[in-house]
Amino acid sequence: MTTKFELLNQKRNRYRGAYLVALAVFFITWIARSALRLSGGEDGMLGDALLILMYVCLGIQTFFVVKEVRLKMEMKQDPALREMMNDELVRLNELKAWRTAFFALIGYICLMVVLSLIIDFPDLGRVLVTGLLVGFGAYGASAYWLNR
Amino acid sequence: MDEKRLRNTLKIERARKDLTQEQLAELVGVTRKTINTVENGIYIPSTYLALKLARVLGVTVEALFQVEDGDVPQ
Repeated sequence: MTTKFELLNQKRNRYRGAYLVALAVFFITWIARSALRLSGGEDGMLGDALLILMYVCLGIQTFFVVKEVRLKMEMKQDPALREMMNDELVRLNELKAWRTAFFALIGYICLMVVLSLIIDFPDLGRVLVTGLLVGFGAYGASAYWLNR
Repeated sequence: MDEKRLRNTLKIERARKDLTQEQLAELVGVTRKTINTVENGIYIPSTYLALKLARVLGVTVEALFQVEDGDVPQ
């Protein structure tokens, strides 16, 4: 029989998985739109379609973040449950996920250093936001993979 | 990173008590996955968790976990 706690754990994993899928689609769309911008075609129909898709992904991400926050609030009522959901293996996996994110960011920075020798990036802000997406994406994907 | 393995009799002791992984997990306050990874020797539990497992299963920690012979200087 599946316990209440195990059901909550499965629910949390489902929310995180759905959030990650939305983040991955957002990331691909973001890269595609950045490439369009570099080639000067950002204002066309394709650019608009990508922008709409990005907003949809942001909406989905927000939806699942809110769902997880509500789950956390539910867990707050029960300290034993909260302790179970964040046991020593979960905490260790989260540390490993931060390490993965760190190396992903280092890799991204190295790649950008090399690319900046070839391409003249017109928008530094976009490069930085991409870096943030890489870091948080790597953390989320790694944590999900380790705790699934 | 960590190639050390801890031999254990967790599965046997759990079966002796007629407990599922989920039930044991709930009794010691961890996830089922934690029990599963400990049982399979993938994750080495903290001393605190090892003591809790031993107490719940009614055995000593030494009976539940053993270091591989090669890991201990003779």
